[in-house]
Amino acid sequence: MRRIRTCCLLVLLSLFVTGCWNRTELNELGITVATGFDRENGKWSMSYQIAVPSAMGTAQSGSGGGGGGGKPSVHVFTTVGSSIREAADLGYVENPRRLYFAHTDLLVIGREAAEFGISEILGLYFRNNDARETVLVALTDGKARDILTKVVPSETMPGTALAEIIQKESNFSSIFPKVKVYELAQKVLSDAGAAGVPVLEFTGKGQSGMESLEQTTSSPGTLKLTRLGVFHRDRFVGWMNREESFGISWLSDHVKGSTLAFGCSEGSQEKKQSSFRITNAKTTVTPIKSGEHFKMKIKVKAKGDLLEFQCNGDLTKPEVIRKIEKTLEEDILAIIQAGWKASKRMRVDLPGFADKVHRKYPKTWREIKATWEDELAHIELDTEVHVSVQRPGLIKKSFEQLQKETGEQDR
Amino acid sequence: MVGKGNQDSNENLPSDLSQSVEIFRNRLGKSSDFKAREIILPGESSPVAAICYFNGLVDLKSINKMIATVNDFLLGENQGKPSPSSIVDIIPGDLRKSGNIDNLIQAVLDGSTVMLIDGIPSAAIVSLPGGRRRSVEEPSSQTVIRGPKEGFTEDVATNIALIRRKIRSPELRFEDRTIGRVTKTRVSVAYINGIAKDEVVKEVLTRLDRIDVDSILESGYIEEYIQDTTATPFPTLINTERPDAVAGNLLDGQVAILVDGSPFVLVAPVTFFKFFLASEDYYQRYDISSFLRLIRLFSFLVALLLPSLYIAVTTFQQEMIPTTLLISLAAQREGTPLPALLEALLMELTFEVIREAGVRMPRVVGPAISIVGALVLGQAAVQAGLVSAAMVIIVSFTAISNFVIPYFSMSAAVRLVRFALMLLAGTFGLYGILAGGIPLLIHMVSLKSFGVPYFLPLAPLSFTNLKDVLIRAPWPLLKTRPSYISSDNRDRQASKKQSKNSK
Repeated sequence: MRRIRTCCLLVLLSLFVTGCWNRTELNELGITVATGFDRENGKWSMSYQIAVPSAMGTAQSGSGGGGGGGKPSVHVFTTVGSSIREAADLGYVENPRRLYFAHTDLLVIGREAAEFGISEILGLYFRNNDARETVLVALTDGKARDILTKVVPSETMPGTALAEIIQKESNFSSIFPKVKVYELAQKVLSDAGAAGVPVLEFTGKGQSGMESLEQTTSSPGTLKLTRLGVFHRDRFVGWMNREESFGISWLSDHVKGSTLAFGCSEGSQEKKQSSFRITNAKTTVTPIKSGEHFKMKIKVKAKGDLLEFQCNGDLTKPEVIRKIEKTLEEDILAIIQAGWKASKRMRVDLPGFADKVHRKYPKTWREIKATWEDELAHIELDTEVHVSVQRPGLIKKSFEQLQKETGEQDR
Repeated sequence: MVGKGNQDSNENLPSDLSQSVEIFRNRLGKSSDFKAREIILPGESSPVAAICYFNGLVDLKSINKMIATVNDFLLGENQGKPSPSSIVDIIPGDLRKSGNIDNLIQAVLDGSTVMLIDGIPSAAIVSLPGGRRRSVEEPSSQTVIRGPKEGFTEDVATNIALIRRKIRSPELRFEDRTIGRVTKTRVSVAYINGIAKDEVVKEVLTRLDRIDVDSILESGYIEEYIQDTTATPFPTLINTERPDAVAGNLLDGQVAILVDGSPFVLVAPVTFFKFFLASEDYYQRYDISSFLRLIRLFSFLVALLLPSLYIAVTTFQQEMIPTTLLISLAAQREGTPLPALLEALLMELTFEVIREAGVRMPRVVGPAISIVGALVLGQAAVQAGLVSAAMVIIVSFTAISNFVIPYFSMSAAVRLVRFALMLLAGTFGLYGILAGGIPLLIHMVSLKSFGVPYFLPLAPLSFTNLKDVLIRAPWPLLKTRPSYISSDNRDRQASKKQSKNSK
C-alpha cells in the first residue's frame, strides 16, 4: 500500500514539474533555416534566416490572421558581436524566439569572414551540440547577409532551397562538389590542408530584395552557383572557374554524375553538339616516387549513356562507339589538366595528393612536409581515362544522317 | 447445493402438509412471488399435496401438466387413498427427494419446484425450469466476420451446453461451486481432463473456495478475487463472450470459469499475448491472421505511446522531426494557447468523456452525442485555434488504435497507462518515456497468471511456442499445444511418422 501511495505521489508531483526545465514549445522556436557569417569592423556579424511558420500554406485559419497571404515565409536579421555566440545571443534584443540551429540547412560565409579565417566557425559547430556538422557550406563574394535576404522563386524557404541546389548540383553535375561542415573541417585539417567550397552569387541585374521578385514569373536576377572558393588551411585564397573546379572534382573522385558535351572528332572544341551522361565514375590516385619528386598515377573510369548524337556513324558498330569514347576521354583529360594547372597556380593541393603521399611514403612525407607547397609544382600527372558507353540509346544513327540518307534514296 | 456460509439447521420437514407450507411461507417472509399450489381432491377438505415454486422461475405449463398427472393418478384406477409416497413415483422429470427444510427452500430459490405431500416427512424436488431468459444471441463485445455467431447468455446451464456442443469429449469436465452467502451464485469450472494441468485446476478451485463474500453478480467479482496481483492495470484473466474462444482455450489447456448471471466467461491462466489473439485468427488464412496480429501489436504500441511520443518530440526533442514536418507542426501550433502536454491531456480526457457518454447514454440520443463530439469538439476546437490540428489527428488515431485490441480489459489498461506516460513525456521528454516504459516492462514481465509468467513465450524465450504468438503458423504446422499452459499431453495432431504407421 505504501509503495502504491508513493507512486501516486510521484506521478502527482510530476504534474507540478511540467513547464520547468528545458521544455520548449514549437511556437517558441526560431527555426533557423540558414545562417550567414560576415566580418564587419573587426567583429562577427551573424545573419539568420528564420522560418515564419504562420506564413506557410499549412497555417491554420483563425490563428495568426489567416496565414499565408503576402507574408514572406522567412525573416532575416543580423546581429554583431565580438565572438560568434555573443553575436548570436545578442539576437534576443530583437528576436522573441529561441534560436534553434538543429534544422539549419545552409551555412553561408561572406568573403571578408573567409579571408579572416573560418576556424572559429568550425570550432563553434564542433563544440556545440545544437549546431549540426552536416550543414552544407557555401561561400559568397560579398556579404553572406545579401545571399540570405534573396528569395528563391517557387520555394517557400530560401535557405533550404539553396541547400537543395548545392545538393542536386553535386549529384547531377558534380562541377562544384558539395561540402559539409565536418568535411570542410576534415579537409582543412588534412595534410593537404586545402578545401573547395561552392560559391553562391547573385547574378543578373535588378535590386531584387524579397519584394521585387514576388510579382514576376521569371526573375531578372537569380542566385547561382558560379565558382569554387578555395581555402588553404582556414583562409580563403582564391577562386576557380567552372572548368577548373570540374577538373578538381575528377581528381578528387567527387564526380557522381554529370553531362558532358562533346564534338564529332577528337580535340574539336567547336561544335560540341552531342552529349554524354556520366552515370558512374571512379578515380584512383596512386603516388609514385620518381627521382626527387612525385608522379601521380591517375586512373579514371567513367560509364554512362549517350543522350544526344549529332555526328555521322552507325552506333551499332563498335568502332564508332570506340571513337566516341576516345573523344570523351580526351575531353575529360583536358578538364583534369585544367583543374590541376589551376591548383598548381594557386599553390594549393586541392586534389588532396598530400594525404596519399603521406600514406604511401610516410618517411619521405616527414621530410617534404614543410615544403609541400613547393613540391606541388614538380608533381607530374600520369592520367589514364577510360570511358565506356553503356547505352547508345534507341536509335542507331543521328537524325541528320537519316535525313540525308532518305534524301539520297529519293533522288 | 449447500454453499459456504449457509447456517445448516438440519431442521426436518414435518409430516403435516399445512404445517410444512406454513414453514415455507414464514421462511420466505411471505414473499409475494412465492406460490404454494395445493391439490385438493373432490370431496375432501384438506389438500393431498402442495406444489411450491417461485413465480417466473419455473415453467407453468409443466407444472399444470404435473398437477393433471397427479390428479389423474389419484382419481383414476387407484380409487380410495393411495399411499402418499407413491405419488412421487408417477411425477415425470428430474426428481430428487429430501426431508431437510433448508435444502428444500434452497431448491425453490434455485428455481426448482418442490412437491410437498401430506403425511410423509419428505418432499420431491422437481426441476421444471422456465420463465423468460435471454436467448443465445450474437456477442455484442467481440464480433467476428467469419466464425460462429453465437454468444454466451446469462444462464450458466445454457453456457455449459454451448461449450459441451463444441467439445463432445468425455474428458470435458465441469466442477460446480456455489459462491456468495446471499446470492448463492452457481460458478462452474470447466477444463479438459488430461489437457489442462492438474495443478492449475486445483489452484483455480482452491482460490474459488477461498472466496467468502455475500454476493457474486458478475464474473468480474470472481476475477478480482482470484487474480494473482491486484496492484496492476493489466488483466491476468481473459473474459470472453464467445463459446468458440473458450473451447479453443480449453483445448490449449486453459481453465474456464462460468458464472451464473453473466455472459462473460473467465479464462485462466493467460499470457500477455493471448490478449491480442482473436478467435477469428484461427478461422482465417494464416497469412492474413499473422498480419492482423502484428497490426494489433502495433496498435497496442500506438495506443500506449503515440500521444506521449508526440509531446516529447515536439517539446523536447525537436531535432528528431524532419525539417518540413517540424515547420508544418510549428505552423499549426502558432497561436494555440496551451502547451502541448496540456493540449494532449485535454483532448484525451475529452475523448474519454465522449466515450464514457457513448456507453452510458440512452441509445436514442446517440446521434446527438456524435455530432457534438465530432463536429464541435474536433473541428470547432481546431478552427477556434484552441487545439492544433495535429493534436486532433494524434488523439483520434490513438483512440482508434485502442479499439483494435480484441479484449476490452487490455485496452482499458492501456488507457490508464497512457496518461501516466503522457505526464512523464511532458516532464522529461523521451527520457521520461523510457523512465516510465522500462519499469512498466519490468512490471509486466514480473506478472504471473496462475503461476504462468505473463510474457511467455517471449520472456522466458521459448522458440517452439512462438508459432502461435506474434504470427499464426498454418494449422498443419501447429502440431503441439503451448507447453507453458497445457499438461504433458501436447500433441494436437499426429506427427507424420505416427500417421504413416497407422496406415
